[in-house]
Amino acid sequence: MIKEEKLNLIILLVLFVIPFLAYLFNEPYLTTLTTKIVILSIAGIGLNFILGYGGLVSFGHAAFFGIGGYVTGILASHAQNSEQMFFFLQFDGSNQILFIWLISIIICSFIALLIGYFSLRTSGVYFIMITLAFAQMLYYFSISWPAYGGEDGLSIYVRNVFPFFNTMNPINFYFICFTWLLIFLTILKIILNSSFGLVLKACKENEERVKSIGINPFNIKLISFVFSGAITGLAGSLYTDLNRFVSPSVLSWQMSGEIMVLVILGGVARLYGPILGAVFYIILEQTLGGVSENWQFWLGLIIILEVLYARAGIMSLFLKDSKS
Amino acid sequence: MTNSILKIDNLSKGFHAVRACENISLEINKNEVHALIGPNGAGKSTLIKLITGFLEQEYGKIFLDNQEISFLTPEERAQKGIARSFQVSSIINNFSVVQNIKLALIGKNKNYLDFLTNINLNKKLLKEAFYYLEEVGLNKKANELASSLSHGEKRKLEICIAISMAPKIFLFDEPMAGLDGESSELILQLFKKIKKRAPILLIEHDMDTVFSLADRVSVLDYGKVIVTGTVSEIKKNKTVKKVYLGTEH
Repeated sequence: MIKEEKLNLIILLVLFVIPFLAYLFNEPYLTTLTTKIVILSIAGIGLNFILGYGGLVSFGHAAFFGIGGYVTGILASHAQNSEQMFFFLQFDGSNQILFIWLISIIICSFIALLIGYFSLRTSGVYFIMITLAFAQMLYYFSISWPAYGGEDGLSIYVRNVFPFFNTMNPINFYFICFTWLLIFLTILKIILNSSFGLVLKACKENEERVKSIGINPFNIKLISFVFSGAITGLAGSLYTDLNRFVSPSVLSWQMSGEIMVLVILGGVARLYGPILGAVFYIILEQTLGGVSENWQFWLGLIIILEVLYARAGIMSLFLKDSKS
Repeated sequence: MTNSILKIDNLSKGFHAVRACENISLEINKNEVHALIGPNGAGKSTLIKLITGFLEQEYGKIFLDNQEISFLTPEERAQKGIARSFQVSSIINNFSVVQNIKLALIGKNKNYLDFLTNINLNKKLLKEAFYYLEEVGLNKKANELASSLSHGEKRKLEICIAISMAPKIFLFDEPMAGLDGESSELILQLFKKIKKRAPILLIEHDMDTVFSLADRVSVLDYGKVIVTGTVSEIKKNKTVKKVYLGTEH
């Protein structure tokens, strides 16, 4: 049993070391796999921000993951094919990853603002359903959009360009993703310790109290929802670059469920919980996936056991001050 | 210029066939404790909800410091200077005692959009929170989880939250409910102290408390104010004796 700060440090150290070990033992696939863990962790901490700390169970976060992914795919494919994006605009897309991230974050924030504005007027099961409905609308829109591959998805031939780094090198790309994870962990830690963070946590427990001290909970939740959407959107952008491919599956409800499972597995309202959740999820996928196509059966069993005996997630099993 | 801080003018609210509040008019003046008494279901808590904006009136107007607030949201009314306690303690149970006060101070100072300052390291905020906690005697429990407090301490914390907002008026909904004699006495003394800062509209069933604290009393029955007067006037009023007090007072 250890303290949370120590466990967090160990998690980061392990993630930092793995690509070097993979390089040493000539296992580049392991680097790719760890990159996937890091990207899913980013998506998870994005969701955890509103789910764990704000009590908002969004079952539509695939919307942001997918939009971030499609923004990246669309901009890159136009740049690679030298095709104009809009007939009225002389713009051929872009393969500059910094620019693509910026656009992904802006668009995902805007979509999160729209979805949040309508969804946050509801609560509980209605909030779950409305966020799911928005994501499903986008999923079916992506399927019916032949210009960008429709059901077959959209391929980009090479990863987008980062100044002075060859992103096609798995280790380089890994550390780009890892840096983003560190950035978001730092930002969220600062926010959660701020006045805004305290009010967000209060909204989760008692909105009536928040109103009675002169704060509108809707505004707090909407801002948080936009933050969360932007973080998850950036994860989607990185995911497209990792796979050099984006398809409607990243917008599907299964993707929303996957992100939520990471959060629940690792530990809701633990900043590093989704990282541990993603590690565990990918290990299960890789080990049990080789044994059976229906490996999710075992995942389901684990979630049942967790909900019954370790509600605070895998992290709580290691921690001294467990909330479970 | 009137002396009143809160003015309620013909306020009405019904739930289906039941008239919870019917043409209620009241004025709460500076430095006074105005008690609201009446049998259960008389409309006292509904009136508090109407004043604080948690319920919408059908008609009638509410003025705070001569400014109409009838159509403002609860959070806007709180910002204008209405602080309340709830009938059932409404604190953030997962927060420590001092965090509950810090939250109220964040609301009062309107700095809830501060994303950067670490509130755990903000000494000014901590000092201010402790100032109010000392006032209600909860400073020694500052770092305890609010859920671990006794019923009386939770009541004190809720009152402390209201005090820390430095409002123009306090609305307390049965703050003594379920308290032992000692705790009630402590809160009584506290109210006597804070009424100098802002008037108090108090709903209370304990008549000894009401009569020792209130400057004026309004009696509600079936959603209507049947009489408003000083304590001695209320004690002598025959209608009040009949509908609420009985004969012992």
